[in-house]
Amino acid sequence: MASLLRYDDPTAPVFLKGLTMPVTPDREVFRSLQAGDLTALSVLYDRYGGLVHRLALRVLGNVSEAEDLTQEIFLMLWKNQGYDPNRGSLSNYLLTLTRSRAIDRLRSRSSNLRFLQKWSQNVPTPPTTPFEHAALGERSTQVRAALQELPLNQRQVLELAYYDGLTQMQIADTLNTPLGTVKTRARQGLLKLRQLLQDFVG
Amino acid sequence: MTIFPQPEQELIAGYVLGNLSPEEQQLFNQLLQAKPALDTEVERLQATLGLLPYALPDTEPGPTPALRARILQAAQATAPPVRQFPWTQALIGLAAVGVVVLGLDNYQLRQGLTTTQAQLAQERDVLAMLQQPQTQLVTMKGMAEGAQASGSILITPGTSEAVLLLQNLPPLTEGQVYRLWRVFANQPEARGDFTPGPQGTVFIKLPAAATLPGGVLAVTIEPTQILPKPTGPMVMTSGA
Repeated sequence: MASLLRYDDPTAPVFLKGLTMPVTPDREVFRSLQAGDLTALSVLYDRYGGLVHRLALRVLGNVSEAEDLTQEIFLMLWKNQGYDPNRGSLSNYLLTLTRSRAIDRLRSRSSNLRFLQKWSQNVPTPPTTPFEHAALGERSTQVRAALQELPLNQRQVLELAYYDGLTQMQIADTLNTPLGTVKTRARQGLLKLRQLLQDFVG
Repeated sequence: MTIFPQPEQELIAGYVLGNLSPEEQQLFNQLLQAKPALDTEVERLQATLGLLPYALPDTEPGPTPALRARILQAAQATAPPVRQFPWTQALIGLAAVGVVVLGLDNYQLRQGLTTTQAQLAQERDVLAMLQQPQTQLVTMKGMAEGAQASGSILITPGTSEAVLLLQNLPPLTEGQVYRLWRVFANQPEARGDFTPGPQGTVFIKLPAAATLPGGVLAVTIEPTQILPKPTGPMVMTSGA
């Protein structure tokens, strides 16, 4: 298999960092993984391990549980290979799976919480969006900038729903805000975010 | 980007967020029937929501290096299931033919237990090769005197041996052999001699180097002594 450039490898020479390098596309690396190439798994871990771990940590709030889930996600990718490149980007698949599994774990901690199942489904991102080609650092910069543009109360509602898996009713209770207001804020926040990131999402 | 009126957009957002009231849900369903393009908008809003984790601060300590090692170690201990690519089916079909051919070969030629075990070992080798997803199949076609002959070479990149599996080769006279050549840049190099069984079958292992890509493989009828170039008629080739 051709050598795979790890643009975010911590051992990469300094001059490589921050450059948008012509890295081997995810779908090609994934093809190698399907053929049983362990190097492909290590490349994908180097690309997305940090992101998966960050999301797991944000939802679970516990370092060792986050590491445990990160391991579970990458071993699922290796063993089950449930990812279908025609249905969306690999990064999006990993994040969706991580969020869904993390919230499952939260649920098993506290059975009286109800969680939105909508986002547990595979959320497709068109695989050829510019977002797919942007280096991770650039993606983070763009999404952070977009979130900064949102009014704080809209952002707060979106984050409570996404990371904590709370229903709108639970969010209304948590924030001591009328349900109608919570719904409006969430919808307007999402629409604004979509507008701000439309170059990425299409 | 399709622009929907603001009330419709809010309805779509509400659907993606899972916060539609029953009445709104009904409206949304009607809208979806009337405007199928709405589907794309739903996907884009879902994708937008899916971007949130990119904004998480990367100042927190990331996963420990030990985690990376642990994952790779665990993965190594559990090989992923080999996917069945379409051509694998063809190879398995070929293997079945090969096994039948070998069966005949066994029956007619070799009754001894030792030999049978050797044959079984060969069959196992072929089946093991067929289970490798990267195993490639080079088709050999008959020509001239060998027009009825057919077969294949199985090559697994990264391994040291290839398998040559042929059938319906015409019988040889005494003092003759079939010789495999690899022709590269018009230079033929002899890569192995063989004689077929009574049914014209051949099943041999070759060093993988004999079948390096980039050249054409050919089979000719030759005298038993090694000559630098082919002298006899060409009876099979891997060329198109």
